[in-house]
Amino acid sequence: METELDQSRIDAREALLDAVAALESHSDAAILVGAQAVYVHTESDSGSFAVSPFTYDADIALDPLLLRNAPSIVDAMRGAGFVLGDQPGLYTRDAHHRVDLLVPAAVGGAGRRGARLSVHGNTAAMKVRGLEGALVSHAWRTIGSLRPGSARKCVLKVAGPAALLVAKVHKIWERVGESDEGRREDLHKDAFDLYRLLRVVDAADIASQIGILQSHEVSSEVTSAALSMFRRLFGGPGDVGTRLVVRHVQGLENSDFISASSVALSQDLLEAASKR
Amino acid sequence: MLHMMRNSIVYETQLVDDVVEDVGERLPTGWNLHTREHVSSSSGSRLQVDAILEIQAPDGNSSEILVEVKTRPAEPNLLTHVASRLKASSRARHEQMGKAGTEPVAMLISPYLSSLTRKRLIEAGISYADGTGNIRLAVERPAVFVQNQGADKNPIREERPLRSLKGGRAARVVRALMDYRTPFGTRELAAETGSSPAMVSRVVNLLESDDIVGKRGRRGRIVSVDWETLADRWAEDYDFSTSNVPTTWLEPRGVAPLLVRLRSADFRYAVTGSFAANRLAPFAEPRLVSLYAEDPVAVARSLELRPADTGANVFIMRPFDAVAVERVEHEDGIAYARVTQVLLDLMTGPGRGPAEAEAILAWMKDNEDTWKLSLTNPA
Repeated sequence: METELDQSRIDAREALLDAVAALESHSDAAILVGAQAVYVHTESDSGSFAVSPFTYDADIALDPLLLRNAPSIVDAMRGAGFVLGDQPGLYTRDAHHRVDLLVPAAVGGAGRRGARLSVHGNTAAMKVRGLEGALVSHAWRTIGSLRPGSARKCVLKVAGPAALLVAKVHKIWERVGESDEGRREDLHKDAFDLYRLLRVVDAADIASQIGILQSHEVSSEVTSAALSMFRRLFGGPGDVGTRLVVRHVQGLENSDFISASSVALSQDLLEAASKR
Repeated sequence: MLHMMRNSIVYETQLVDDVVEDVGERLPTGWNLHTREHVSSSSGSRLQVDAILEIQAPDGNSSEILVEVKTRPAEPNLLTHVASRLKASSRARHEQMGKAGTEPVAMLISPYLSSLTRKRLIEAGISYADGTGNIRLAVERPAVFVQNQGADKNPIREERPLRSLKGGRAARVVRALMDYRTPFGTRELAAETGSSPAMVSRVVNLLESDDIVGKRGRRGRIVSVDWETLADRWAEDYDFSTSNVPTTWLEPRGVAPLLVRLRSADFRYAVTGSFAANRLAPFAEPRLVSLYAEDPVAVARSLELRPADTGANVFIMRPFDAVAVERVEHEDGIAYARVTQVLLDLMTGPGRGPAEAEAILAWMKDNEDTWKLSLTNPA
């Protein structure tokens, strides 16, 4: 049961607060995405499952147009103890804290993995396809520490549910096809995060946000692509995405219910989106 | 009217007296009908009849009526025999009385005569009367004719001893016996809970022989009900999944939004099973809601549920009897089935139901004062 927060989730939130503080000068450009953003939207439903939301990373998308020239992103992160590893944009502190700085591929410039961020260099952030919606749909939210008794908090942009859904769909779609098992391993968690969003947010609301994402040039293409991927991943009980959702809570929740629920909510979304 | 329907054993004498009274009330002014003698079978009389009545006209002329009584409802196939015997008795009586006047009228009296039986009796020229008010009395001299329509269905069928608690009406009585504080009378309990007194008696009779219900006094007030043993006894004849008609539904967002919608429900329902149990004896948080409602499809539509063959998390049961949605307990805007119902549903239900039933039973033993009801209009 979810009576106690697990430590990894508390740590992940601390890492996020530290990173946001380090990037304070760039706060207009930073948008929370990924699992932590999902949990901001799904907090009200978090008690409904035998599996706690957990995450080890803080994923922050950067809008290159809103980045200032100084301070340098890599330096600012290093100042908070986050060290850039071999891969662009992936910062670690100690063994457990990880912050990923990501740039939507559509605005990431040339280059395969590292985003081209002029004065900040080519390795400060990683290019990721599917995050474009976060540039369009987000809202300022207050995010607090999860450590008991701590009053620490920050205010930052959090990507909207539709943008998060589009990003998750792209991630799952890309990785289910990969041969590297390590890259597929945690996908069930991503699938379940997507399911959490569907549980909480009304299908009509997501559909109308999707309509907005489709109307913006920067996010139009990835959003339309995500809809057809979503249909193939989550449209039926035997589809890969649905099976991943079920796998995440295997043995803890009634698989038949989770499967039926996921398919019903996905169908609701597809239907609402097709009416637009 | 006649009153024997409420007795389980209809005595011949009583039946005849009641019929005499009933027919007497329907005669024209100045006419009179009375019992001349009750003939006991051991009296050695040559006449094979059970009673001799006399009908008297205002002018003093009279005629005898020979009565055969059938304490069980007379079936048409017995009639040939009864008719010939009555005719023979009638002729014998006529001879016995020196062939004065006309032959006595032959009449059959029974607790109930079906329409077919009555038709045959008319064909055979035999008068009749039954305990439900079916009457046909045709006397030639002094000339009088009385006819009345009573019941077309056999009310006595109710009076056969009950063998199980399977039927909804019997189960309704069981719930009443469990729910209310003793002592109470059969009639009081029937009036309070909308059962027929006859059904209450039948159930009580069945349970009395098992020592589950204790009666005292001439009027047989019920002074004790061993509700725990009664629950076990009922469970032999009741099954949550088969005594009720289950329909299965999906609320893809889980049970929380369903409970919110139930708070503003405009239909009659009662939540039972694990959810209702959890309220009194907390167990693991249930993921599945079972509720009673008399029109499951309409209720599911109103709750925005979708039909589900697999993965259902909402069960809507059409109840064995409306009692399942009566005497509910409200908490936090939700109507919960009475704890006695929840107990049986868990005892006989699937999954961890039986284990939860144990917890509920323990709670019930500790809190009898809380859940037992008092009659609103005790005698």
